[in-house]
Amino acid sequence: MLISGWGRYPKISSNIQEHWSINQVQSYIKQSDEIIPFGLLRSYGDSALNSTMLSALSLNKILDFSFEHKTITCESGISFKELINFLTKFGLNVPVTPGTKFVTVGGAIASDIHGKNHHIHGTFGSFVESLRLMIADGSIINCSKTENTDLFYATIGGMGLTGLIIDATFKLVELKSAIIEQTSIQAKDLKHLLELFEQNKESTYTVSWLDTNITSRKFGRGVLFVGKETDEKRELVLNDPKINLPCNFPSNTLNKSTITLLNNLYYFFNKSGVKQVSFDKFFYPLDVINNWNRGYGRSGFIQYQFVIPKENSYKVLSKVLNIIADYRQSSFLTVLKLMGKANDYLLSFPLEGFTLAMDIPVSSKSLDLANKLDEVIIEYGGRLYLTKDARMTKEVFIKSYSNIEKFIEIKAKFDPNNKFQSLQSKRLGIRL
Amino acid sequence: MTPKRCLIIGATSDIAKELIYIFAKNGFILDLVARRLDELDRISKDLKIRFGIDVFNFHLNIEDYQSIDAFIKTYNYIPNVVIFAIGYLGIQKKAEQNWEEAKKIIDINYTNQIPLLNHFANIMEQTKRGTIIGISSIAGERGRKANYFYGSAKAALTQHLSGLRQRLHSAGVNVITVKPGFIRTKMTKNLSVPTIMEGTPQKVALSIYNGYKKNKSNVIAPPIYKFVNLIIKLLPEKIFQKIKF
Repeated sequence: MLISGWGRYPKISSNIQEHWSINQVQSYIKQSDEIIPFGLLRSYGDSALNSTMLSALSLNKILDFSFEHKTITCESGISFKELINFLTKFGLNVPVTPGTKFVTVGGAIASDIHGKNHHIHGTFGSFVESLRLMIADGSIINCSKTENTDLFYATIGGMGLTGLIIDATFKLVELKSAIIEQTSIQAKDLKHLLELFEQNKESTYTVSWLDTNITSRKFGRGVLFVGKETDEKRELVLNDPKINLPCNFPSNTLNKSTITLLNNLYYFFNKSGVKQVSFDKFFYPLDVINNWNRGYGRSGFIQYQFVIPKENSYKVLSKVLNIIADYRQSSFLTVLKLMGKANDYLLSFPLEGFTLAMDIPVSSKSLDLANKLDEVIIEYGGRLYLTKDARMTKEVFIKSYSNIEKFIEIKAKFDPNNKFQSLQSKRLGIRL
Repeated sequence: MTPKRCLIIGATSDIAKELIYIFAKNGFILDLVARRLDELDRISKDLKIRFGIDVFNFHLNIEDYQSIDAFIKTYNYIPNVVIFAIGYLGIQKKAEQNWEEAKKIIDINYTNQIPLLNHFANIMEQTKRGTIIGISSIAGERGRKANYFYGSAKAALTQHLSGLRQRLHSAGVNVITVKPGFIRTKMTKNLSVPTIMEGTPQKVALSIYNGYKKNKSNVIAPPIYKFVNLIIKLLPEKIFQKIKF
């Protein structure tokens, strides 16, 4: 079966394993030579791909829930959509959510995901109190900040390379309202946009769209979206996708000209102002379209997401915009966000500074562009998000993830035969 | 009103797992019976948290008479619904050579279910209420070379349920025979079948629940198998012998 991540690049033929009980999963892990666990395949690149892949989706049980302590213990294959639908009945919510509700708890931990509140609340992993991990020999290990600490710090953000997360216990937050007051502020250029982030950093949710098309008159214009929970009591409703892209668009549908047009339209239609939007629309705008990734055509796209320390932000972002222009490339769904402090999980992505994510259709030219951008990012102390990556080199990775040696050491201790590996971990040399 | 009680024997089978959630949603107290108590533990915790219902777990190894006996002795309730969701496809080729495998197929799919069927038929006949749901198979309609050990055991179960239905009719107890067609489950994951003929455990479970609500005698799911079933039954033997499915 041909399978790929959300970016539909790369595609590989894979043996997909589905097992229906912990016991079966255990005997499968024991007998296999090489596997990577996966969930809803929303990571973009090749981090959840391998020749044999183990689905965690049947691990979808809620094992414990305390309204009083605001904690839940659930298995790793449960989706955020299912979880939020459950929690909302109690006026609670997951503490951190990515841009789609179609991710699993296991994926959220393995990617140590961040959301629009990262600058205030940190990553999903910072809310995890403990987890149970099935390691290469089939045994199940309890990990937390007090028990098997090394494995805990390696597994959160560890891209599934330490073992299969069976279940996890994490803190929940109160859901104040299902209605978000969204303030949009247009920024005339990059400098203005970065300032707006600083001015609004007390707000819980901030994110911005950035126009990657530059001209002499506009350089890094964008729109900052600030979200605030309201007091309005209304039921939280998560919708299923309303539109389905039934087939691939021709690969050049989203080209430089159409993206420029879309960017202009986007800026035009997102005037400064305040409005009330639903929780679903504010956090998951793209979930409305099922299979939106098909819009980039058969050859797929890469999502290039990096973060750079704050002090270098303006300089690096300017360079990045200029390089994109030099390559005559463009990105439509470009997201810029101010992140908070880094945490201690070994392979966690965020660090204090700005993160930029852009979608670029795959071509030899765009892969070239990405390599060029890598040079700038690592020169200024930045790094790429493993969950999005499909192409960076081992050299770039090692230079930017300073805890990698420690991670490999811990992995080798619990997975001596390197059973848990992905296409990405092979490319990046994450093994002893 | 006290909530109704549903007993599911073979609760970790794929159809049963779906059925459990439908009955849970409808407020039933659930008694789950299976060999693997650790699996039942996961499922019952989830059910209690999500639906706020009472769930009880019971151990039963259907291959072992002592275990069956022990279960009947410890289970002191009179449920409103009993579901037999026990099945073992086995390996046909192995069963042709090996009596142990053949016996295992026959025992799990038919013989060892009888003491349980007897027990619940007798108490329901006395209390004059309840529903017995037996999951048999479309494979029990006509023996085929691909799976006639399994098919013949299921045929016996189908006939047993038919007789039981007639017997319990006057007591007001309904017996439902479920004949699933091909369903993508752990039991059949290695077989290749055209997608149009494939059912999902979810859909079959929903058909079963609807059949229960409507007091049906037979439930065939997915619906395409009503048609397939008719053809299989009507095909003259001379032609049937030459078919390769």
